[in-house]
Amino acid sequence: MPVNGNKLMSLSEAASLVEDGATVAIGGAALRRKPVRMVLELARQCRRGLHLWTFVGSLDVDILVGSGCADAVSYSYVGFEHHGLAPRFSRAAREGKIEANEYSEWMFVGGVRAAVMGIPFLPTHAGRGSDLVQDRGLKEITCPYTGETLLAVPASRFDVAIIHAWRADARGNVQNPEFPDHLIELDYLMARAARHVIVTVEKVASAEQIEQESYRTVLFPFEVTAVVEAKRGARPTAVPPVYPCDTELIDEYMNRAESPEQYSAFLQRLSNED
Amino acid sequence: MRTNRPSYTTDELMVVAMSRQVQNGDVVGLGLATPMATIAAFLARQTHAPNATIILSGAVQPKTHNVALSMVNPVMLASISCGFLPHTVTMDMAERGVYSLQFLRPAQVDAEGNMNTSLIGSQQRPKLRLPGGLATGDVTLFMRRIVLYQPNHDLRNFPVQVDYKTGIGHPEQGRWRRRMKISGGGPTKIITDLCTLAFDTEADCFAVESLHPGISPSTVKERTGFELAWPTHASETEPPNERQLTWLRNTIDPYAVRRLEFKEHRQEVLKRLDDLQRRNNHGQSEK
Repeated sequence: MPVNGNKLMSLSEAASLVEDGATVAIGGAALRRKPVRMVLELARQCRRGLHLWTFVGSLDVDILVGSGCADAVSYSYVGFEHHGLAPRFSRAAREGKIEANEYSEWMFVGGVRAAVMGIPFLPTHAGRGSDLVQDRGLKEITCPYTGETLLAVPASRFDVAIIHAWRADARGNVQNPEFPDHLIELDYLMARAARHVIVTVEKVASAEQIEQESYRTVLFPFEVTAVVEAKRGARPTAVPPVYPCDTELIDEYMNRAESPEQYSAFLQRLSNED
Repeated sequence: MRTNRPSYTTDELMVVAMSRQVQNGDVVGLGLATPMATIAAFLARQTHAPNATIILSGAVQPKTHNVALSMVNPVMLASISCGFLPHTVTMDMAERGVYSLQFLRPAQVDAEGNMNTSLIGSQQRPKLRLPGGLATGDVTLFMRRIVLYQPNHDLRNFPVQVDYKTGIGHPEQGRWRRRMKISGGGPTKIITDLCTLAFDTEADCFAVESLHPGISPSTVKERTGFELAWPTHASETEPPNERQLTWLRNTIDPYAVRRLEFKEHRQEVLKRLDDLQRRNNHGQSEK
């Protein structure tokens, strides 16, 4: 694919970049900037055997696990903030239907940072003594200078990263609004640790618009595989400051998670939401 | 006679006791889903610790405000702060020892101070999968002080041994921390709805520091799964004063979102937050 070629794709075309069994990083954090429209498309296409990686998961993880698309989830937190537990994820994890691979923050982010830096692992003081060290198969290393024992977090590389952003041009210059969100950088880190990057955007911008506000650009054509226009594509999660979280829909999702019929009807409704 | 003592509720007593743990000059890191910790930090900065630095979800020194508003509207936090630290910068600051205090609320804490925020039951067949520990396993190694809190002091939350060690406490009578040259102090205090506990590194156990007014030693013993050290005369937790209650009720937490962390009040607070969110969303126009 030419670096500056046209990266515009439909939801279903871009979803086909995600193969069964792929390792998929998902951007957004908690109930913000989750690429819900693309997640629903993967569920609709009945993708199977995915290994999801997300730092702070919520609806993204719950829909993909709840629709049988994922076998494993690697995360630091999966939940619906003060609204409660992620219903389908917690049940599948409890019943042993998925691998729930919890990582501490330093383990998770350290692995992504190592991949972005192009190194095999990152040493850290964090996490030592936690049961998570053994359960994730992490190893310790002795510092050759100080003799200190550190945790060596291996690089986490992904087949595909899916993130939702504000706008992009057809070439794949991605921009976000000037809203200070302390977790937004995780989207860019995960994108840079992935072979393919799918960006869903609120709107497609012209090359001129991008150049006029070039200080907003966060990802560039050489690191983006597909741009998909998906207006309100993170709903019901928030894209601050463009739209807030629709907590009524979140609550309704949680109420419909128990019954299989109500659940699939509700996902259908979410896909058709404008 | 204590005729001038203002009346207060257990959640107010707890949040004030937590705020007393913030020292002047502390750098306090605050994250997701712990409204009591956020409220305690603002209360401390507004009263006895004016030089405390608060970093809330990356926002540096947000102004003292009604915390319900920033919970439902993240855009608001940006408008009342000096700026935001990207999360990896916050993480690096923590690892090099810039932060001095963090509050954590694990589901279980055991005799050694090990913390579980991962699962209840056995690992192969858990009874409950919790959302996950975020930085629990990390900050216990490099924050100078970790203050734990638990609004529901009972046997399930304070077992002899946690079901899963998400974050480590003080194993091997403190030898592990010394051997590994751990810079952080680990869990130093536990504030509950019954009492305040302090980890005694000499005796290698938690000791009762103070009992909340009206709480008997036998209640604490019955509801703690492990042995505690008892002073010859356990003091009474200092009740909230007028000034603290005024800040709490009028400015920092008029919606009582601290009660989100109390099972019996959770639903009523959620409803208040939902109403507030609806009104807020209504006012936030699409761009």
